[in-house]
Amino acid sequence: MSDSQAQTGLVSALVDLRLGTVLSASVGGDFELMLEDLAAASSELFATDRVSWDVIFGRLQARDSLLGFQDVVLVSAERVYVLLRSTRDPAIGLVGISTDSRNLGLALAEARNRLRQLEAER
Amino acid sequence: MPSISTLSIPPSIPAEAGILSAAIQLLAHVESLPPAATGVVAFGQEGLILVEGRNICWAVASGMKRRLSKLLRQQRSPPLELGYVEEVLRACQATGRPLGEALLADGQISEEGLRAALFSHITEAVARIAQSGARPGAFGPHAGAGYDPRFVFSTGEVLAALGARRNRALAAAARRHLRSAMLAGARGVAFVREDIGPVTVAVEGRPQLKLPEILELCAWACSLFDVAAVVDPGVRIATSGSSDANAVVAWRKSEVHYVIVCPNRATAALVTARVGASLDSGEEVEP
Repeated sequence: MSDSQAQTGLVSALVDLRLGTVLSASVGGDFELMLEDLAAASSELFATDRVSWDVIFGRLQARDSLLGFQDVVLVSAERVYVLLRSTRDPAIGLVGISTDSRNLGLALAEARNRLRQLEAER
Repeated sequence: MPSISTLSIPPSIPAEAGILSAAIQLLAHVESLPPAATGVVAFGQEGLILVEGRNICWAVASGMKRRLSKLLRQQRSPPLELGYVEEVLRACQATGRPLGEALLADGQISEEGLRAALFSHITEAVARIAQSGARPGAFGPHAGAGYDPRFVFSTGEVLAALGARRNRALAAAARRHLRSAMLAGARGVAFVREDIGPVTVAVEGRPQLKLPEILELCAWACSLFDVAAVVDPGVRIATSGSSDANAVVAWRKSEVHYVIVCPNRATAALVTARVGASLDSGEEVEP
C-alpha cells in the first residue's frame, strides 16, 4: 500500500486544471482506473468547454461573494472525490478519490498533505 | 357570522416564468439601492414598494384594495368580525396609523399573524407589479422614523415565496428538509432546476440570504453538480471551504437542490453529517 492509501484509502493525482491531464500520481490497481476515468471525464469537460474550474471553486468574482474555495469534496454513496487547488499555482490542482465516505475531514487532510508532497516533488 | 364571500381573497397570481423573471429584476433593483436608503420605489400607477436597508417593508399594487384587511382577519380562528376590522380601519385612516399595528396593539392578532399577513400581501404585490411590466421610477427618500424591523422582509424571502407558488407541496417539503439540516449561524436556500433556470422555493437562517447571494449560490451549485454528474452520477453531497471564508454544503434530494452557507468548517462538517444521515435513512434529522 502506498503512502497515498495509508489512512482512508485516498489516492490522488496532481492535475493540470487547464487541460484536465494528470501530471503525477502514485496509484495502482482499480484506483488507477478510477483516475483514468476521472481524467477522461475532465478532458471531456474541457474539450466541450462546459465548465471552468474557477466556477467549481466558486471564484465567480462577484463583490461580497459568499464563495471562493480552496477545496471541494464530492460525496456519493460509494466514493469521495477531493478537489484541491494549489495555493502556489492556481492552474494546478489535486484530485483525490477514496472509497471511504465516513470521514471526509480525514480524507481532506490527507489530500492537503498529498498536494504539498507532490508539489515538492515537481 | 361572516359569510364566505366576505372572507374570500382574490386568487394569487401564479409564478409563471415571465413573472418570476420580472420579479427578479424588480428585487434586484431594490438590492441596487444604497445600503442605508429608506423610502419608496414607485412603479407608475401599477404599485409601489417601501424599502429600508434593501429590505421590503411594504408593497401594494393596483387591484389589491381591502386585501390586507382580509388577510388580517384570517389570522384569527374564527376570523375577526368584519365590523370590528372596518371600525379599526376607519380610525386608522383618520389618524394615519397602520391597521396591522392597531390590531396588534389591541391584542386582536399576534405578531406572528401580522407578519404572515404583511408578507402575503407584499409577495402578492410584487407579483402583480412584476406582471404589469412597470419599470421603477426614481427612488423617493423617506426621512421619517424607520420601519419596525419585526415586519420587514428580505428580497430572498420574497423570491422564495414567489418560487414556492409554482409547487406549494414541493416547496413545503423542501423547507422542512432544509430546516432539519440547519445549525446555528447557518443560512440556506432550496431551489429546483427548471427550464427557466434555478427557481428558489425556500430560504432559512438569519440574516436572510439576499437575492444576489441566492443567485450566486444556485449558479455555483448547478455548475458543480453538472461536473459531478460527468465524473460520477451518484454524487449527492458537495462540501467546500477555505481557511478564511465561508464553508458551503450543497446536496440534492429528489428534484430539489439545497445549499447551506456555514460560518466555519466545523459547522459545515456537522451539516454534512446530518445531511448524509438523512439521505441514508430517507428521514429528516431532528434539529
